[in-house]
Amino acid sequence: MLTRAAERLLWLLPLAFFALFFAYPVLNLLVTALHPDGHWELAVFGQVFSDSRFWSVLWFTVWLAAASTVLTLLVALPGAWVLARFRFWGKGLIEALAVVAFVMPTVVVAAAVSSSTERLGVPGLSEGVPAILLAHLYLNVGVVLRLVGNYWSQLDPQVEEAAAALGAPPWRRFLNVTWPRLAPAVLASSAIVFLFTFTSFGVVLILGRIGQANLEVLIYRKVVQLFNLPEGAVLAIVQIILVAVLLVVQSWLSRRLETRQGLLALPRLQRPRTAGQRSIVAAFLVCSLALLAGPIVAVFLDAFGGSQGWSLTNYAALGTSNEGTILFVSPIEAVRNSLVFAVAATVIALIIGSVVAFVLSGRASPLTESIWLLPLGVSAVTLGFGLLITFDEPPVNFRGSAALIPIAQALVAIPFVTRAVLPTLRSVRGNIREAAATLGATPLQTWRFVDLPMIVRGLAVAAGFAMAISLGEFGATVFLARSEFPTIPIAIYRFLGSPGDINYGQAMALSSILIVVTALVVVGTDRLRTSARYL
Amino acid sequence: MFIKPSRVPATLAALGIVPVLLLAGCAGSDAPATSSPPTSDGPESTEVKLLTYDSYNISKSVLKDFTAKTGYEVKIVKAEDAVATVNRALLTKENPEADVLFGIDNNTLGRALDVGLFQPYQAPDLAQVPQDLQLDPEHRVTPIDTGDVCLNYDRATLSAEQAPKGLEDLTGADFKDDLVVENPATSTPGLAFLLATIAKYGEDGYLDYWTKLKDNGVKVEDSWDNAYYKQFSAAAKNGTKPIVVSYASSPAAEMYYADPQPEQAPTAAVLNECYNQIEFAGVLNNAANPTGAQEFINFMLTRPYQEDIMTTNWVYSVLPSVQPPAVYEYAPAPQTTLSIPFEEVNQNREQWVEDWTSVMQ
Repeated sequence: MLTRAAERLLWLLPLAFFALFFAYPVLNLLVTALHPDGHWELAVFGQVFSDSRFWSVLWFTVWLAAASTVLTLLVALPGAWVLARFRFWGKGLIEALAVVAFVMPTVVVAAAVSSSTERLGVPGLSEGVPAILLAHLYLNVGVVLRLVGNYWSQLDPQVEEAAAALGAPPWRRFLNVTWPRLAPAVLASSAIVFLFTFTSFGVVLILGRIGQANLEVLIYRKVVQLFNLPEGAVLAIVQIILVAVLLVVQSWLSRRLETRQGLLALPRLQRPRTAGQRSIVAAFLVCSLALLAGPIVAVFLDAFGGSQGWSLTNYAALGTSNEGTILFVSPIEAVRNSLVFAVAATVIALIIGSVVAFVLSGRASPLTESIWLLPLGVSAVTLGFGLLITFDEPPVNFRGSAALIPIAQALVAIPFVTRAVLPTLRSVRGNIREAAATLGATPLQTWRFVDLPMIVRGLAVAAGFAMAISLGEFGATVFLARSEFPTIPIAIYRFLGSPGDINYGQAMALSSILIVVTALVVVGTDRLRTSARYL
Repeated sequence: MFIKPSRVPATLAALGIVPVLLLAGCAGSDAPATSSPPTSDGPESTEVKLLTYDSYNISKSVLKDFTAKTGYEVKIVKAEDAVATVNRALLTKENPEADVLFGIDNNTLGRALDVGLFQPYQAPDLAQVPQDLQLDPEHRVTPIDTGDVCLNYDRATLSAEQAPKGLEDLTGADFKDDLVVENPATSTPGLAFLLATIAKYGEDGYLDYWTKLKDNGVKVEDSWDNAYYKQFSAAAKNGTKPIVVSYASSPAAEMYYADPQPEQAPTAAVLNECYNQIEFAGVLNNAANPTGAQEFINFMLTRPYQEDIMTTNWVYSVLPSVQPPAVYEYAPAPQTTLSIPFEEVNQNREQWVEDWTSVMQ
């Protein structure tokens, strides 16, 4: 272990980062909310809380998150069982598609859902609540498949087999034998899905009908459409508090899961043998391909298709300059901006995120861990809004530059880095470090020669996720991106919001580019198969 | 503009975060950013940036004339519809994205003037503009054009007899699912239409009227562009709504662009209960190139520009001497208009829009 002094010094890095880019903006939000007219008052809070719209939006937010979670569980649990028990052709593909779906930019998902449902021709499915639920399902099904699937595969099936031998019918075996053991994993993954869908922004903004808003969208509308900064700030503070509560619950549930005993080290997977098993696996393959690949295919069909049949028109249009279009620069420049911002954000997120993980791996209680992860789970819209109103005036005026964008994206990506690196760090056994120290290694040498080699793969996974998240980040970027430097998601949003085939086509072409880049980054690093997790 | 890709990651890796983040900030602002302070002879000052709404249009030849005369090149930054554009400018007030803003209208002026979005500028030609169009005595904004927001309908679907005669008809069963309007929180024609309903039904009655519209299947889009070109059956490929909130001049535009020329315009405006709109331009406070911005506003009041906008943006000139072209015979002036005094709109707009949003949710 590092010496106490050195460890304290290390703490300073994330502390300073969070103080400047999280605490300071939050403080500024508080001032905006409590000090709107030059003196301290609670009037704006009263204004917001006495508005019936606030309560209906809050209700819609909770309801939407709950409905999304239930839907995701219903769809994913049978799939998790198939993944946990069987080995079959195509399994790796489904797992990869689910990971890609999880990090897929929300703007792209919204575009893909509206495009694919319009192809299906089911009326009412391409906007409003049904479309939002479908998008949330697509984004989160991988969370349950992976988390519950992994956990389920480690539950010894012999227990069920014993119950079967004793004559318990299948429903009884599930209810009395499987469920009690599986419940912690289901709860933990539900908490994650609920948290994600509670702070869903891009999907609700794009697919929601007019006036349909969850808290995130309401904050955005108050600030960007009504320029009501004090009420926006009150809503942002409410959002911070609610997310904090959800995070504590979620991190407690996940933590409980980590300390479970009596799990199989090596899952017992079997090939589907009976006709029944084969048809179940086949059904799983068909359904998950339809859900996970369908929307992507629809995007590509729209990107290459047009009124004149197959063509590259939409891609060619991306290179044209700003004359008469809604973007100030050519869309290709948005691609370049996105890549540069994402690289910068990934570097920041990797450094800060792994230092936090390192600090936490030492001796953190679940409470300390939650407290450290608290600033990290705050919604993107709140972050973007806070940064926007904080750094646009002296002493720190960042607004003329693009620097705030990678910082905001890094803030969004840091929790994923920390959560990816933390388990690998914890798996480094303390006695190896002590041995190194006994042999005269300095703390730095210990870290360099013991810890680093063991966590480097975890870092690679984390880098992949941080990169993917930065590439697709929308909620914070939409506040901060100026017209001179749009990112791909901003450009897609603008194109989607404009009439005409060529705008739609360009939105789809950009979406397809983002899909390819995201998939490459994530699948590439996910293949490293470490104990690192992104959840 | 851009952080140099090589700089941030390299320094971050080399130094450790906190000092580096400050550096990153500096790296960004050191780059040739458009928000750098105004210089009289730097390369920046040959460019004037115009922030405007998405459906804004101007002939290239007219812009070229401006460049030829003044040496300034015009860069157009398009936000969404005009209310959203103004809000965008308000949010970036300290570091504006452009030098001139065009598209703020009589109904959205209030907040922008209160918080000091614009700097005063009196164009020499302002004297030719009628007094009643100059709403700001301090000349922080300059009137550029006027228009009348009216209902339009698709003549292929509705005959003159079938078409709605005014606001009240829209709640009837005849027009179930037929109407598309713009969101008053983002769009100036949408706001003008909302104000028309407030003028007609009063502060106590307009929300009931909107509840009826909602029950009758009104569709709301965030911008005029989307309402007209995504939903309106006469203009959008897959549009299904035969009635749209647009301008009295829109039928003339339909005629102008139609090829081959039909005998009569494919659309018509309902000339009752329209709402008048004046669009303004202003030099943004903290603009990088205020001189260029002033030049552009001067130019907007010249004859070539004023003539051009009548067939590009389909609005009326503010100069009495500039007469509409012949195609405007297809766009007769409104017979009745509704209005609410400027000061009253300023005071209540935000509340009205918020209340409207609550009802339409």
